[in-house]
Amino acid sequence: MVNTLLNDKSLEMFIQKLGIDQERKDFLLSKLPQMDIEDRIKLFNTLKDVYLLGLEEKEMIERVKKFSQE
Amino acid sequence: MSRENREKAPSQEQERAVYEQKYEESRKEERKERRVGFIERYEKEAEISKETKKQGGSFLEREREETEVNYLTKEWWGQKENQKRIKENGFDPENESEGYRIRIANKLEALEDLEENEKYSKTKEKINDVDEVKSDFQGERPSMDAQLSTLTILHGRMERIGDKIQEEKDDSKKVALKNEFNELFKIAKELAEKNTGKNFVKEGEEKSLKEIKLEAENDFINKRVEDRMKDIEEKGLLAHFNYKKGEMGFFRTKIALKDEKGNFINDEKGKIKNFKNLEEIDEFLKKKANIDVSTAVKTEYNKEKIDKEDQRKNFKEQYIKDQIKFVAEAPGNVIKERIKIIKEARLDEFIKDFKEKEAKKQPKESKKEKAESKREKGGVTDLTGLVDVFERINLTGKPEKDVRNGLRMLKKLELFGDVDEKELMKRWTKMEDEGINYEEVKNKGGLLMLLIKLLLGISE
Repeated sequence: MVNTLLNDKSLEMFIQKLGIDQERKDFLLSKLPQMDIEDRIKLFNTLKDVYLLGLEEKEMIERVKKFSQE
Repeated sequence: MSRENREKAPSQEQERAVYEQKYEESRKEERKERRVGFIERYEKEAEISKETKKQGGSFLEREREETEVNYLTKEWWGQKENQKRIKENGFDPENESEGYRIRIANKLEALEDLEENEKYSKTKEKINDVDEVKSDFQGERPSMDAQLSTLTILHGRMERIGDKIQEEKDDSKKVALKNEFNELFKIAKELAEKNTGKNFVKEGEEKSLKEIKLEAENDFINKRVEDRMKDIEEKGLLAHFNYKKGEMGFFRTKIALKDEKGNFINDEKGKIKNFKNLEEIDEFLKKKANIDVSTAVKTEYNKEKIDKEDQRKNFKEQYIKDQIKFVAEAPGNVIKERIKIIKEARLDEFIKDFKEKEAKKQPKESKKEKAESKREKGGVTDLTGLVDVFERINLTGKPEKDVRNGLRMLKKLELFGDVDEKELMKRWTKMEDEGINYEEVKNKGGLLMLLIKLLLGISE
């Protein structure tokens, strides 16, 4: 049984949430059903990295804004 | 300046064009001369610097002088190791002539550049069969982008070697491949550590290059932002994005919107200055940020056929505000752009690997997997739920407490069915014993990663 984090629906939700550009998003969504466990773990880790980078971006911009507005 | 002289003086547009041309030329020269002759280059730069000083100095020249200043201080000159370096390179440490010292400082700096370049050239040789190496890696001190690309390339290559090791049946060939793998790992580790000053792999610890690469990237970005903010704090510098050339530059003055009425901050001496009128702002922008409002708006007036005085005034006011806003938001734009590149690179790396794997796959296998994945049920909210948890959680800074809180929240939300807190905490303790560095997970992102690891680990 595939871990619930790694099933099609979970991964699809994750891909949708990240605001990836259309071309990459379409590719990933279309290939999801064909992915084996190894691919899914890799994809999950990639998506996780992208998500964390997005958070970092927000934090950094906040910090820079704070300085430039002082 | 007298009225007559003002009329004779070149317009701001001309000055700007000359400045940009000079800047472009100096960049070209710099690239060329790094390969040709450092001493000549620095002598020439000293001449330019002298000339620019006479004219009041451009910000680029002032930046350069600032980097040279360290070499010229008595403190630097007096240090034993520096005295040794001066002697080793055939120079006289006793000579106190300023001109002599500037030349020596320039030569020493150039020698350092040369050493750096040699080191990176060696790295490049190792990966010269990989065509993704960016062109800016050649000839110049590699940029952070280039270094990150190198890490990505090394990582890709190591993964390919790893695959080969698995497939190779000949033991001697296997050993050769392993050696190559270890060598590449060493280079990548050194590269990452050198540029961040961080020890990524502690004694007795095992870490994949992918992990190092991610950490290094985060460090590079953080360091870049920290440096930028330090500049803003210490020198009142604000990064300015040159929209024409798409390059970053710095200005000496911090410019930011003060309030909705349009009063600005002039942070030159750390004091707030409210501008009296648009002309004053106009002058300020010209002088400090090289933004020529008058010329720009005149062109727009003609283009948009704005001929009434009050319309022109409104237009000009809006234009200035836009410019200021643009300058103030520039660092954020750079960060966004940089992170976008990394995000895309990450996804592309996955897509590339997947495509390669897919090409090798038998059609039969795909059908089987498709059928398997169709049988999966539930989990629609699992991942978004996890993200929600992460966004809601309040960190205490105490590792065990934060991990436990995270797990309890998961349990409460019933996102993962029966979350065995005891079992997961045991696993967390084991991870701690294995030397997990809580510094890496004490932020929300780190905690999220840890929870994912714990959850994935349990069901694997």
